[in-house]
Amino acid sequence: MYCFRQYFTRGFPFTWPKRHSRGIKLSQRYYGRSPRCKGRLTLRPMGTGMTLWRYFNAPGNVMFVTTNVVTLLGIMSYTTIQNMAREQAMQEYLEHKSFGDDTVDIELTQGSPRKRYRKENIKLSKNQPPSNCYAQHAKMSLFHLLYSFYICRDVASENEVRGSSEWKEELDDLQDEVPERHSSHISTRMFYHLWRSEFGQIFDNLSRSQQFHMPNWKHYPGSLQVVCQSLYDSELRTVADFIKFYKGVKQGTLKELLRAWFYDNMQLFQSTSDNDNEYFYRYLVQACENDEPLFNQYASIMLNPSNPRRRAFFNRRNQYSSASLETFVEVLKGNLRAAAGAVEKSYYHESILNLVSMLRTSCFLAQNSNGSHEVRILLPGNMNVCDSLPYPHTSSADRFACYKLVSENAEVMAVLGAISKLPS
Amino acid sequence: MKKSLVLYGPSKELLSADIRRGLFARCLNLEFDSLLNDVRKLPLDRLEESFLHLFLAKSVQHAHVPSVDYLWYRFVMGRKVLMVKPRLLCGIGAVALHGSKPFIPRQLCMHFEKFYGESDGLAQYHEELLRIKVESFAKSAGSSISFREKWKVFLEDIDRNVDETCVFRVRDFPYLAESAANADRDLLAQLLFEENKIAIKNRWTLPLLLNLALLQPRLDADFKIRIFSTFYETHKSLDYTDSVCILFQTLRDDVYRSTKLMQFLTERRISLPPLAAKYFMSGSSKHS
Repeated sequence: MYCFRQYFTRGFPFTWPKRHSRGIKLSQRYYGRSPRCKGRLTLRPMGTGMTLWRYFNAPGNVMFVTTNVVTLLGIMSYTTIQNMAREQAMQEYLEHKSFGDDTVDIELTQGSPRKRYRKENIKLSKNQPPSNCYAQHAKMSLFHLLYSFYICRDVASENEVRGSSEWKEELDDLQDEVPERHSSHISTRMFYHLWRSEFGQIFDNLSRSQQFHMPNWKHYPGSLQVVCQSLYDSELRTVADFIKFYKGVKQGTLKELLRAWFYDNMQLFQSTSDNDNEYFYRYLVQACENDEPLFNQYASIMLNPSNPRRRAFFNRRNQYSSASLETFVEVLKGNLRAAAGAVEKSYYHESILNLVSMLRTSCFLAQNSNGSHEVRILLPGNMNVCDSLPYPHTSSADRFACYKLVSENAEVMAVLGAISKLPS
Repeated sequence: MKKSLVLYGPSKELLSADIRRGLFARCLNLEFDSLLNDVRKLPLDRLEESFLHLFLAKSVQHAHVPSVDYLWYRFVMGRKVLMVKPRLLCGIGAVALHGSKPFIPRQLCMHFEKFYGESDGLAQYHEELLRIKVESFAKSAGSSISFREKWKVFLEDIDRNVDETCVFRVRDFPYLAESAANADRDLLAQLLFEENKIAIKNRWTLPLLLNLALLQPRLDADFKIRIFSTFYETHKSLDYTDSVCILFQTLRDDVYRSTKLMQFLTERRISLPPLAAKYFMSGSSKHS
């Protein structure tokens, strides 16, 4: 380093005393006599080369430059070897990695606090796609109802109960707790009310539904076994599913129970638009002829605009929910029948008046599936909705045709005739 | 007709054990993005219940908004096959609130009502869900809806439904506080001091409204002190811990006003919460 500095600042270090005078001379030549200098300036590259050569020729400098070159070569070769080694190591690492992914993964994730889960270590439980919460709830509620109905019936019965020994044991346990039996028979309607007041709050919310599993029904009485099996197999998601289940039940008492239960739990079922459940409504209204309170409940679906159950039975066609003339006649007949038997007749008379005015004001012509015309009755409650919508019948000609069709229906005329004979 | 039957008929064959294990492992390893993509492709009725529960819980825990959104709408609301525990409902609510899913909080409340409506011991979850619902409304409606409406929603949803002993703190309602910035002085004063259509049940409701007003940086200190003192004179028995803290915090650099407020408090014998004392001391020591 010392040598370099001397060379750049002053000239030639090792032959210092001699060169000193020459240095002065040079400067004199360049700066002192400028006019003569021009010709000599062209020789300057040669002069520099000479200078370099002279510099190199000096014995100390040869060693200095050589040392520098050797050092440089040394450094270069060192880095090259280093690079090569590193590359080789990388190569080896990559080769190693391609042999097995997992080992590297483990090395990488060992430092992280999060555990890495392996597919193979996972233990699977039974594959069970979840069932609809509402359907589960309906099944749970129905099972509870049917089971308690059978238990109650058999505990109360005075005859020898037919059934398996397990079932009898269950009955015996309960019979010990019942102090005395007042009557051996409870009406189905009564039983449903008792059941609902006793256990209704269990089924108020759906929180228990996902834990429900049907118990083993092998030891139950034969008819309950059949019902349990069909309850288990049924999907019970839509109203149509329930209708199917209902039709599968053979016993009249159970059907009665199911009818009462269905009115209270209709919100659990989805109403799909692809099938028409109005026929089931007609059936229910007919079937409730001996059960006045339940009949009133079902009839209110048609009469009361705020009853949310309407969507289950009356599909909306063109945004109006309407009932067919047949349904109308059934409800009217039921009301007449109830009015005849009831002590307090004014409720039924009002319903009958409502129904007749419905027929008078809101009937319209619709095409049924066969393509022929039929009379349908717009249900109350549509009025405020359809302010913006066109009313189905507009012309008086249409209405006239409606009345004509109604008058041709002998059943309707008979029922309407019966109204006039009502004692006021 | 035949085609549609083939397409929509209930699929009987279930997923293979290997695929199911893979789903579980990826869920546990928190690979939500790729997992969600794959789950979308699988038929809905073949996913098993335990996996869906795990996926929902994990995605809520790690706040993966798209997964939560998908599972909620597909399986809880749509197919109605999942029953969500109250604690997880609150988790979903928090994710939905901060992930800007404004429709979920209302549905969470509905789900809670349907499944746990009358159950005992779950009141705190119900309160939390209602809080999320109100906050979500305050957040999502933005400035298009006035503060008056948002406050009405608070009164109708929370004050009316929640037990009277429930405590409301202003720090739990950051979005409501944010939207109170749109309210002018007259509106705040009217809501605070005049009889409104909706009767107020809870004793924490009005102090909360007062605190919402005190938190607004836009309002000047004199106005804040004035409404505080006026409000105190009309409702002496309510809790003012938060109000006093907020006031001293805003007056930290204002020795004159904070000293005067201190005098007001000592005269009325209103207790000074430690935090407020700290603010007061730091403010006065800085200037002395």
